[in-house]
Amino acid sequence: MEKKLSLQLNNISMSFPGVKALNDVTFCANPGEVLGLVGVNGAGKSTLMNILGGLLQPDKGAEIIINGEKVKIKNPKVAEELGIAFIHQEVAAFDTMNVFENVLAYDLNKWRKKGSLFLNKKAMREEVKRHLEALDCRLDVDTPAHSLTVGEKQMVQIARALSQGGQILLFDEPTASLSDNETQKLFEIIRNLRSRGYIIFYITHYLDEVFEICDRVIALRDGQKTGEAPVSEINKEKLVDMMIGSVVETAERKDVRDKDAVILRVENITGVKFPKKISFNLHEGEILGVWGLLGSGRSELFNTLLGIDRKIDGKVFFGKNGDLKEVTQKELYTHVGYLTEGRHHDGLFLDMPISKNITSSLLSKFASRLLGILNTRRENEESRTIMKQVNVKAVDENMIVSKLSGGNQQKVIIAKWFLKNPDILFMDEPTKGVDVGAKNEIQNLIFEKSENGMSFVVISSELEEIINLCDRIIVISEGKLVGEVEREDFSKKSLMAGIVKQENNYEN
Amino acid sequence: MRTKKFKLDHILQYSTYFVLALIFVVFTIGSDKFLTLRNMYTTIFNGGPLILITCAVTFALLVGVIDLSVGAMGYASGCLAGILIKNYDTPILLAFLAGIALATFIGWLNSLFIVRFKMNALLVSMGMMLVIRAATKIITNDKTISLFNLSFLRQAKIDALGGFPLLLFVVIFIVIVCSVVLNRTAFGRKLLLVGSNEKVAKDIGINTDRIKSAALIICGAICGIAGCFWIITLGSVVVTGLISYEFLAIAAAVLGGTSLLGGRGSFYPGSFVGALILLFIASGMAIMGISPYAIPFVRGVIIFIAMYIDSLRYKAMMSASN
Amino acid sequence: MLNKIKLFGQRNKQLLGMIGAIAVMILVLSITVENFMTWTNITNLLAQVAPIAFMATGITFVLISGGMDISGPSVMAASSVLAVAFITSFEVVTGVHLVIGCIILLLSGGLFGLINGVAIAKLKMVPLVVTLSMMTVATGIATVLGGAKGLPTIPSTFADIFNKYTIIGLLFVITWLLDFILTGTAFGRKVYYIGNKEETAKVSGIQTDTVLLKVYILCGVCAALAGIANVAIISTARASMGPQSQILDVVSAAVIGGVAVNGGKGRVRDAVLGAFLIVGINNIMNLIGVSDYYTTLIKGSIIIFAMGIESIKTYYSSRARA
Repeated sequence: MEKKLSLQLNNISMSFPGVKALNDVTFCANPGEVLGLVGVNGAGKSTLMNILGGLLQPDKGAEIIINGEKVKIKNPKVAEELGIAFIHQEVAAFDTMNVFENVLAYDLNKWRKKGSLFLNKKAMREEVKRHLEALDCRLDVDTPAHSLTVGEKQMVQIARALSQGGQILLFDEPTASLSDNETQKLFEIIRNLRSRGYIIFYITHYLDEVFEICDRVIALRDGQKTGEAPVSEINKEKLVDMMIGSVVETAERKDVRDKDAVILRVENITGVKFPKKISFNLHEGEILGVWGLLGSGRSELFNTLLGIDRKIDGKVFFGKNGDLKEVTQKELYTHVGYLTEGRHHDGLFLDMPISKNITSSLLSKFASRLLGILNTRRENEESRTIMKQVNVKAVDENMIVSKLSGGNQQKVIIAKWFLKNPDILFMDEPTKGVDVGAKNEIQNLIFEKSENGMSFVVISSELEEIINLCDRIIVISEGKLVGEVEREDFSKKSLMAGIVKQENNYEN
Repeated sequence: MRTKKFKLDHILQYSTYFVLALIFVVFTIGSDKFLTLRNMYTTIFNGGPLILITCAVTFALLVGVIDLSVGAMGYASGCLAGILIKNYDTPILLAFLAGIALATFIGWLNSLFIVRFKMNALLVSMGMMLVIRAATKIITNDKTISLFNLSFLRQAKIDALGGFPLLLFVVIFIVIVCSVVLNRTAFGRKLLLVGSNEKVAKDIGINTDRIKSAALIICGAICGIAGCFWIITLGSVVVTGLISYEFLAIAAAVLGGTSLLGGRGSFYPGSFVGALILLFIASGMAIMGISPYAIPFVRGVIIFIAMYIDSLRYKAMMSASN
Repeated sequence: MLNKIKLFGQRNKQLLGMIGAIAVMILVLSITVENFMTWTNITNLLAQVAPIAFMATGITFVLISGGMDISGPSVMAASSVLAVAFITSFEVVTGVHLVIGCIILLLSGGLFGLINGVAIAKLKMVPLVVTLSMMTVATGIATVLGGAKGLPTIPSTFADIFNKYTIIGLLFVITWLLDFILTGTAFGRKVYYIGNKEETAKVSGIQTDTVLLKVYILCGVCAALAGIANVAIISTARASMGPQSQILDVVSAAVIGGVAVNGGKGRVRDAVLGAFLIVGINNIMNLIGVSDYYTTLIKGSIIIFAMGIESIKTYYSSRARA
């Protein structure tokens, strides 16, 4: 069966309040092509795919043309009817049901026996077996979905897409949780599909994969298309350049580190969500950056280290003035603050006022010693002070946090941890979703605090930001520490080299 | 690795049978009057209402709704049927149909509040239960209604099988129908899809609101049948009819492997065996002469263990998917 | 000055609403019923409210933390029965026995709460399920120990000490104390944090499982306090003191008092006022001559109505946010 669907996207823009996620993106895709989509976190790749998948509506003036006809993709069902199938990174399946039911869930009515209400389960099983065999997958169609590995669940999703008659497949970071074998199998399937005329979009952060499986690649940055080329005509460095843009100067920063005083030593930490061992040190007054591409395991590192996810093995040592002692996670947390990646998930109490959010990190400061009676007046006073320091723009400290803008919400969380004034502050993407002005403010705050003795460990996916901010950067790739770079040696090149090198090692 | 988890899953599935078998063993040892055909028939026959209400509530649980009004719906149905038969000389079949219609209507009301208006299922059904109980109490003037016309139904038996109550066929029939619908129709599978992951189900185009409403309406209908069955077995309409059956039914469903979170469960063996477990605990203890007041205690302990096993099942499922 | 009043009004909207409703209630009563505004009548009423009000205070903490506890009335009955059984096991009952009995009452309430808390906070089981089982177990204990025969009465000194004035005073003190703990101490604030977003609370460094454990223990102790009030009324303890249906009154009291069932919002004093409203409605109907069952009808409707308002409010606020 030859598929000959062609896709043309013209002037796709997408605006959210305060931010333009996509700006006038135009390109086309031909049948039998694997199109790679690259860009750093927030560049707009997922937004673009969500528009194609019917989960988001683009701004006026956008044109999506399939086979010469203009279409409007109003919802996922319409996308499915047009032949577009989205294979998500978060493999959402019906865990309580088995494989063939998961594959055919989208239209069970189709499988009724003629003239009756009963399902023709035999036919269902055979259809799914057929699709799975075409994918060279030996899964038993009666297996319950919850016992499948991530790779197998992905096969189920692909089988579903094929069964729905999809002709345009969107893969969003598909290999993030796959083993090497499974990744190779996936590539075989993609090659097979390509030869049958499917259009395949492939979003990835693993640059080597782009060269292995894609025919053409499109780079996005800040919502705009910054490059497009057949894969055979470029190399890795050029690709990185398209993704990241021109070189940025390192800004002024006093090096206040006490090079001899290690305040935190992490030894061989492994956890349920962080299977590979990792060790690193943090010096007093240092701003340590943790760099890596999306999915490399940095947030999992923080969560495992700080006790949000379960730790399996490893030791942590903490101490001021170089006097290190082994500590439990609970003890460590008393000296530490943690600004998480998902401020709506676990960073804020959305229905509570700013003051209560700020004081939640250190209630004991405002509670009487014996009975824990709270001094709300002091709470409000100190909240106001810190709000001013951090420049939270709000009417007063009683404003409910959900009504604030994203940038201000982020500043509230920063204010919260500044109140606790811990020895070490862990920050996961501190300026995510924050406008440029606020970004600078936050960076300056971090500088100030570090000059006053606070140590920082900062995760960021934005190369410019992490280069500006940090004294030293450790590079994580696929859950392993692959490099360490001092400020003098900072450059995009050296940082990407860490990752590129790792991927090269991987291939061997 | 996967085979290990597979096995655990199977063990937990068969645990329901295991518990029932255990109960049988215990009580057979405890009294020679337990393992008699007569006891079996009596227990299951008198437990008909519970079995049916458990099936009803299973429909709701499968789509992820905890419906606490099931006992009250059954009661309302039986009440209406009883009143029609006694006071208005209605033909029996018609009276039963009226009762079932009433319960179905209440099920539809539930679906209106819970699915259409998106109110909290737990509290809506609790409130509905209150309202129904109050209303029916007012109507019956708090008096018991004796129904002699129904005794022939109660006593219809097949002597050849040692006194198998004819009406038991109704219960078995309904359990079978429910089971078939769940396992072999598109609707049944959709119930599970909606209960398993409502968001994704909606995304792939399933009309989740309609499925949930249908489940609640069917729940009401089966409760209606249970109510009619109840007045037959009891022979009268009492004010305290089917009280607390909602909690018993939910417990029976969970004992039988139905998940409170939706998307998992079965009628046979599941809810049927779960109800049997609770019924035979009471029956066995009565035969052995144990104080009837200890029954809720023993049931409570078994339910607690069942809930714990259920949460283990859920944890095993979640960790396997990671 | 005017600003301060405005601020107070904004912050305590629920309280003002409740006071308004209660005022209207009292107005209606004093007009329509003779001898309503007598000291004896009012104090009698207040003493009647006490058991439900005590349980409402405890359940407020649980609800705000995002959990649920339906074992209150059963725990109350079981603790009371344990205490009275102890007291009456002695030939001659002295004051010391009464005191120890009280301590046993409170301790057993706390113990039941502890079991709930461990299962919910440490073993991460579902609150509804855990407290459902506890409800059955506690009812079982209460019936086994104080079942058909009932327990003998305890010396009247108990009822003399815990006369209606003491109980009213105790209710007042406990309400004020618990309300203060909830709104004015670090512990109470943590309960709000957990109910608002448990994940954020954990990241903020709050020991959520310890807090939740204490919350359920507290709820158990409050149920025990309700037991004291009830024991004082009948000078003994019976399993029927705590019918399982009473929990609906308790939860309704909290819901009407503005405690959000999903957690994060509410105050103890408002829940207690809610209890007044619920029991007050009962009595209005009684005094007017309306039957018990109409009042249940109205209570049920009020719950559905109050929840409906909450649903509509959240619906509109979430639309505004998006």
